[in-house]
Amino acid sequence: MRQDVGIVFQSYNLFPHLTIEQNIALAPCSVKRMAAAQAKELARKVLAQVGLEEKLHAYPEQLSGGQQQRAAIARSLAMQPKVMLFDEITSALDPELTGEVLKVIEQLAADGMTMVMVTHEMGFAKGIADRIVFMHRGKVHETGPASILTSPTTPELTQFVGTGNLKS
Amino acid sequence: MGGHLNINHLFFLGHGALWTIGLSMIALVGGGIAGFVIALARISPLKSVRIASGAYVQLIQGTPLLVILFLGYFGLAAIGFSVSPLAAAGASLTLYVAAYLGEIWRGCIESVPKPQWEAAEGLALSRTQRMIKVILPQAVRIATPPTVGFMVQIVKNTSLASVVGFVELMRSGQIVNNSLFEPFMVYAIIAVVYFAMCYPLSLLSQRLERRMGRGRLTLAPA
Amino acid sequence: MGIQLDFPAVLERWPSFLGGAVLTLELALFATVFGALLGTLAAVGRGAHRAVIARACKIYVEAIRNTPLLVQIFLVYFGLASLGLKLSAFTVAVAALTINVGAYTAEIMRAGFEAIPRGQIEAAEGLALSRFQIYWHIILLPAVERVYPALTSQFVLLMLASSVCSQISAEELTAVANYIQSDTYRAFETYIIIAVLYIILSLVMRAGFWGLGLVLFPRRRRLGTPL
Repeated sequence: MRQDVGIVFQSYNLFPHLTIEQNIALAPCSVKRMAAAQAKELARKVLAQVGLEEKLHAYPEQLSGGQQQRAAIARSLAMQPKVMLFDEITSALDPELTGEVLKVIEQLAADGMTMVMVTHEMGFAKGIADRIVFMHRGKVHETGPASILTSPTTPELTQFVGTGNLKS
Repeated sequence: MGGHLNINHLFFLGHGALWTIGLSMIALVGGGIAGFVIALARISPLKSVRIASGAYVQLIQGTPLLVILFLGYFGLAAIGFSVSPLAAAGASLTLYVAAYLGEIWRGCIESVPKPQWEAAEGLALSRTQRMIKVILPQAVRIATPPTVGFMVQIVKNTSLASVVGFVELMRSGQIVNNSLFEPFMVYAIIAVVYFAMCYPLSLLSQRLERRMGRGRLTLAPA
Repeated sequence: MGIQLDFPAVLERWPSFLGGAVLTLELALFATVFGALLGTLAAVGRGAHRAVIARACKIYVEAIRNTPLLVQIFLVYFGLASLGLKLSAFTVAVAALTINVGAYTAEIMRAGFEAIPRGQIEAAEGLALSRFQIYWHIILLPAVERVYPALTSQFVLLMLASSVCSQISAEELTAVANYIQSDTYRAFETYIIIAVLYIILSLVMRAGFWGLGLVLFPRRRRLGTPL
């Protein structure tokens, strides 16, 4: 079951002692017993998907925050998950870098990946999500299609979208 | 042959333990004073002083304490300077401790945050004033846990003085064993006494370190 | 009274000195390899869920770190003898040094383990790595890389401390020196020579560990992070 779900974290959590290629190949090699050559090929493929092919042999600390997060997404993709969880993956990034990460998510959505995303990027959520769950202090206040963001019914969501979170 | 451990033996061991403490004190005070000079010399503005003190540290830290002891006792005697076991042990330990404490303290002085040095400079204090009024008081705080930790090493290292015949705890154990022929028991007792002296120091050092909120690795010569 | 030094009279024993230096290096390397294994096990053990194991490891580490090596060597020497084990002094020395350096290694490794961020383990779990794989790839190897300088300094100190093994007549550099000085009556020259040899040995070990570090940790090599 764990193999079917890919998780991407707010703090990237790339393994600092491994190159990007090794970061990506580690799980396919040790969990799926994939041959090294095949895993390398896979690493190249998923890195191309997030537009980082040229960083194959770099170490995480040589990458910007946005690039690290894209590499972390690629690492998750390499396990060919059925569902992907994104836990506030852009919270640690400044707006410019947030954009490059969100573009990758858009592409994944277009390719038909099932994704669950925790985010404060309301504009992005509105543009891409099939279903939105609005949570505040551990409670679900509203669920529904993206349109709930434009016509909120609970005071919590009204207040949230009213504070300018939609402009992005 | 042999006999039983009696009160006289214990009394003798206790006497040895007192000398272990005494020798540790000599090494701590002597090595502390010399080590302080080494620490300052290592960050001296004069290059020659830095090189000389650095060489001293490298030499001592590259030589076993046992060899320094042999040199100070048998070596000096062979070239005509007879010294007592206490003098040889005290001097050797002082030389040895100075090199290690000097390095530890240099690290502590250098780890006083840069802005503090700059601020002191900005106030137009002289180099000496800067050291005494601003840097050293902060360095002392940083230096306390590793120094207490190093005291454990000092206590343990005094056991080597036994090989030049100085009757501290270890040597008194060997002497007791010569009449009892129960080496395992005797050395186990000795080990327990050393532990009783060292463990409180270790605990204190750990506690101080935790209070300072920094988990730093202090190296320990075995 | 003039001091008369005669180094040539002692230096003509150079084959013995060299042999002693090689034995010391062997002693140190055996103890380093076994001690690194023992210490890593003890460090892992200290984090064990079974309280008995964690406690036993802590007692081992504290007992060794708070007693002199000289006492430990005698205890191992006479302890093994009283068990009826007839071992060479060299073997006893390796055993005692292993037990000793294992405790220091355990303490250093533990600091390395504790420095691994929680997120690293979560990420590895997210990638479905097994517990053992996580321990090996994500905890152990990075921890070794992080504490490598402290570990190797400890091993050099161990080599120097091995001179104490001369007290149970294990053959190594200091024992050789003791023999030569009693034979030549030139204690000062003899001990100066082995002091120099020990300094050379510690430089050799440092250089060796530095080279090994370059091979083991490609990231350090590539990014120029000092070892």
